[in-house]
Amino acid sequence: MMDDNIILELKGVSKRFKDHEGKYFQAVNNVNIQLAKGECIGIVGESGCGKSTLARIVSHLTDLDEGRMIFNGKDVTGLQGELLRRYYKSVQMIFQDPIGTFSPRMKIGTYLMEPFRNFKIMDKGRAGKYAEELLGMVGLSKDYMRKYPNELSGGQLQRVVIARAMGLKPDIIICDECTSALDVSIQQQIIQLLLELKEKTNFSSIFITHDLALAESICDRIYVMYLGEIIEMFESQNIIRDAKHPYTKMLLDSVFSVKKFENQMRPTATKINGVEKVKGCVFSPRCPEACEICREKAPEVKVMHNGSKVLCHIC
Amino acid sequence: MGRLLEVRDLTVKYNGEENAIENINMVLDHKEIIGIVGESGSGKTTFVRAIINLLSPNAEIVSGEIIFNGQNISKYNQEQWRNLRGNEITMIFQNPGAYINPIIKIGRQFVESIRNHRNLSKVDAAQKARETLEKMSLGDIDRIMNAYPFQLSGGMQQRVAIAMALAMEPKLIIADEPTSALDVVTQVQIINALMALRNHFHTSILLVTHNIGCAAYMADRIMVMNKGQVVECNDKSKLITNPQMEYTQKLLHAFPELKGLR
Repeated sequence: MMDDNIILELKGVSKRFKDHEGKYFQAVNNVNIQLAKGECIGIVGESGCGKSTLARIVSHLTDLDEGRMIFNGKDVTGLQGELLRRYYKSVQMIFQDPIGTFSPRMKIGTYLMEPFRNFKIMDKGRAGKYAEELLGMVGLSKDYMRKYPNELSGGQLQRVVIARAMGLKPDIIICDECTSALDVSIQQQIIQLLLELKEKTNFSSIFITHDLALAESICDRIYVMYLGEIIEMFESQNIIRDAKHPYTKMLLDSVFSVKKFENQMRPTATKINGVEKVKGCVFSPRCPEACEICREKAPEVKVMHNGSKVLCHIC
Repeated sequence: MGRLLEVRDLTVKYNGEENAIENINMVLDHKEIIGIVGESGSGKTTFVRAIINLLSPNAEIVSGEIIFNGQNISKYNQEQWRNLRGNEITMIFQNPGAYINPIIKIGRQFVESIRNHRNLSKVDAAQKARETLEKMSLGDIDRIMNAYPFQLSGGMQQRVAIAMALAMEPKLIIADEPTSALDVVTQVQIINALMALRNHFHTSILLVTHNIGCAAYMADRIMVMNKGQVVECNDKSKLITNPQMEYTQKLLHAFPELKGLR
């Protein structure tokens, strides 16, 4: 990968939260991620692994504690004022629950025009025209301009959200579980739409999900996250073949399949909370293959022959 | 295996508008799991809510009969429903947080729900609650009993809700999207817990889901619904390997599959 091709780089990013008892909770721990122009990376993991916190850090909704964030060659870690406003424009986020991002009393048209008015890109008349264009781009007619959010289905609302995010021509779009509230056929339509738009405009995207099959179908590279750490990274051609880390394998075992529905799903060990610092490998308390060294010493990143990276002693 | 539930020509509509579901027929045996799949708006939730008589007030059963254990329950009055619902037929909802009262500790709610149906002392009811929770592999039972709902994660709340549903050892459990709000790992734990239940207590389960992979894993038979009608209902292996209807094929195709399995 050429260095000048990289649009976003996270270097050793960490974030911890304090709970009501004053104990610290490490949500994100020493994360290193690179995102190239036009690339789509996936971040997968269970709920509570820190993937949403990471997304909020990248979109500057949460400040980070340690580490640096490089965007287009510039350090954007402690961005403020006008520069931060511009950064907000170039990084857009699509959330899980579309209805939550709408004001129930605002018409779709107003909602779509808001960012262009807010960033003073165009006046109201032009913004209206542009909003209609955007609706067309996501496959909705301009009649939707005058509708209220409650008149649209979840899939249609998610299209409107995508239209607004796309309208600002951002460099990065972050999709935080953007299809998990929708049913499978609508999910497929939204993914199709995102892929088409990506082909046209060549934006970079970070796709956050707990569904490995979905991540495999849309992402170029996949990062697997566990208790705030990136434990594995691989090119996403064939996860079943490439995944080495026991945690990723465990995730794979819990993916439903209609082709291989007879497969018995292994009961997995109960999830633990990351409040207490684990000595050694973070996954060792749950790992079926853990041995002496896993509980004693934290593993270091290993580069495999196919270019994937694993944080594990036994792989 | 005998017949537990039979639905004949069930038609339901809302506000006198078009029929939400139309002429649905279904037979469920003892110990059987049927997965009902379809897109949102296909009427699957209306269908199962009609069975347990929990339709919203503006819905009306136009025609049809529901026979449960030899009784025509569609003619039951409120009193009879109170005895049946939560006792022999129970329901698990998609969002456990909305089902559990947020300001009452789990233990008290659980005891109350048991004492609604059984003539037990509080101590005995608490004992029964603990025994049921233990089956759900929830770890520290004392902590769960003393916790407020917000202190538990979504997966734990759902397991508590399932434990409450099965404390009465019901003959039929209706699970409406029980895992859609949970992540993949917790999802498998919940599904495995439900399947273990069927093996221990011979409970029949109606599983409503839009995830055809989940239905394929868990159910014996799959019923596909679209626009208020049954598209196809068959043994899962037949339905998946040899779908008769175009809509079923479309639904199967829409399911994201890992490449290594193709």
